[in-house]
Amino acid sequence: MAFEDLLTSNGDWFLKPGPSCEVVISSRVRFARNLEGNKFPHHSNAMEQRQIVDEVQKAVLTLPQAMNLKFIRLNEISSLDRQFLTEHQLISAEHAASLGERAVAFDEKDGLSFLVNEEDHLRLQVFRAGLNLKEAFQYLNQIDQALSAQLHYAKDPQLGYLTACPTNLGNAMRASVMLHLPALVYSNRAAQVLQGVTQVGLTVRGLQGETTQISSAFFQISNQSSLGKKGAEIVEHVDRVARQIIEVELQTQKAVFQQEGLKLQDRICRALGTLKNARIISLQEALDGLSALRVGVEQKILKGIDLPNLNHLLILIKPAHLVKIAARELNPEQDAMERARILGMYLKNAEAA
Amino acid sequence: MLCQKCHQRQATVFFSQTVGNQTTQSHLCEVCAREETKAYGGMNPFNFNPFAAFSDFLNNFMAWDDGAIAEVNSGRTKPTSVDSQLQCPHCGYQLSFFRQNGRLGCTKCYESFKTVLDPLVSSIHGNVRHIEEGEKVGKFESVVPTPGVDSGNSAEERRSQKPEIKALREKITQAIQNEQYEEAARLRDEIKKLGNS
Repeated sequence: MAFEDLLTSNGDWFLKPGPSCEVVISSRVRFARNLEGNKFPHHSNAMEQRQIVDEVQKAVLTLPQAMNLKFIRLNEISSLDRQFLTEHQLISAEHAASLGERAVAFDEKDGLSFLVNEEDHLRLQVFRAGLNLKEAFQYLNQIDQALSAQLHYAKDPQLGYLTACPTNLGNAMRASVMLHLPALVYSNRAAQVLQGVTQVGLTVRGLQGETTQISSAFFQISNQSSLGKKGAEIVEHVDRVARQIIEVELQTQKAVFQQEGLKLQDRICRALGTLKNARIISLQEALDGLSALRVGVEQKILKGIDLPNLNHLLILIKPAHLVKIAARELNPEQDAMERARILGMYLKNAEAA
Repeated sequence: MLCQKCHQRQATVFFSQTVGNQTTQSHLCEVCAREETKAYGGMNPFNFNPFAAFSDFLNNFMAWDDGAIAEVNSGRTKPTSVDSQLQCPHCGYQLSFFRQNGRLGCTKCYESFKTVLDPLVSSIHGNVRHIEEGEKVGKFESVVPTPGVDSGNSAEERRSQKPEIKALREKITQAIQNEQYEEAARLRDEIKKLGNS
């Protein structure tokens, strides 16, 4: 199984500029569901896991979206392909790495995927570009309701949807927003702002999931608990907090550009020079450079490149994507060379405005 | 094992604490563990790392797990060794596995380990219950009288149009906006009286 088509058709959801796209990369809503009376995936044997995969597959195929869904059993594809799907955010790293019978159904254009036998029997998730949790939530809710007619979800009147980990009980929902906060990081205010976020019941993570340090200007915020609140309320809450962060970031951007405009322009233009002309470049350096280019586009310091393309590059420069593009195995040095080549190609029309 | 601090009560909590780069670990009873936690206030305010929040949460959660189990023990005088050997009759999963990895064995485990899980769930999520998406949970519903809804007769509706009732109703709205719920309730009773006169 190969997924080369995903390289060129990076989902519509991702290539359209979404609301508040100058700060927000994407919004995601995820529900966790389990089938009544069954063992959770980590405690099941292969046969039990396969039954769950079959049952979910049958149900998913009755959805109106079924026409466009690819259904893939993860143990039938290579670990490279699993990593590729992870980089594409269609499955999680845990899902890719775990053993046993697990599957995914996805429609990449729609930003929609169904993870079968990850931590829970079923996790359904949808992505939208920019800050668009509300639409994502409504859409996922519709799909979930249609599925609930086919699948007997485990549910308790007090605890809500029963999940493998009690932290996910309730409506078993995560609403998350991926933010790009370069000015807050630059002015050393990110930790302070994000601490505030954790005090209002939200969790903060880095770009690669549960990172333990500030490794770039990309952050993901999401709700911590989903018991005792309606999904719509959680979405509202995360959305409101995201809007506040966006405002602080944009104000800070304005302030730092007023104070140190030339210095920042210099940084951005140098980043463009590096990304356009490097012959060997690490993932970290590329991410930092792309972060600077985003600011350059927002502040109209650069032209010849737009935010959706920069979003696309964030994914294309990851290892499994580079292997797919090069269509051959890459050792670490070749990986860094291929990354530099792709960046040079995509940025060839970008220049200082 | 006896508590390493008071040497009197059974140790039920494994307490690990890092100050600077020194980590001390001890087996404590629930009472001493609570005191220790209070003394250090949980988080070091001078060294905040936003990413620590999630792992802290999980650590607290596992610590609470011990606390929750201690509570169950103290209430039911069931020793820990037996308690952590609790098994789900439906899937054979042991409570001790849950304490290691934070995951349950099957959907029925929530019933099987109810006595341990209920306090744990409250400590993670707060003392709340699941709310359905379509459920009405307005807290003012009982305070604001809705004319015509309870009785539906036209006489009631006519009475509710009295100017003094209209004025009171506006006052109620004002009181609710100011979060003066007692005042709102008093005004509601006044409207009722007028309505019946």
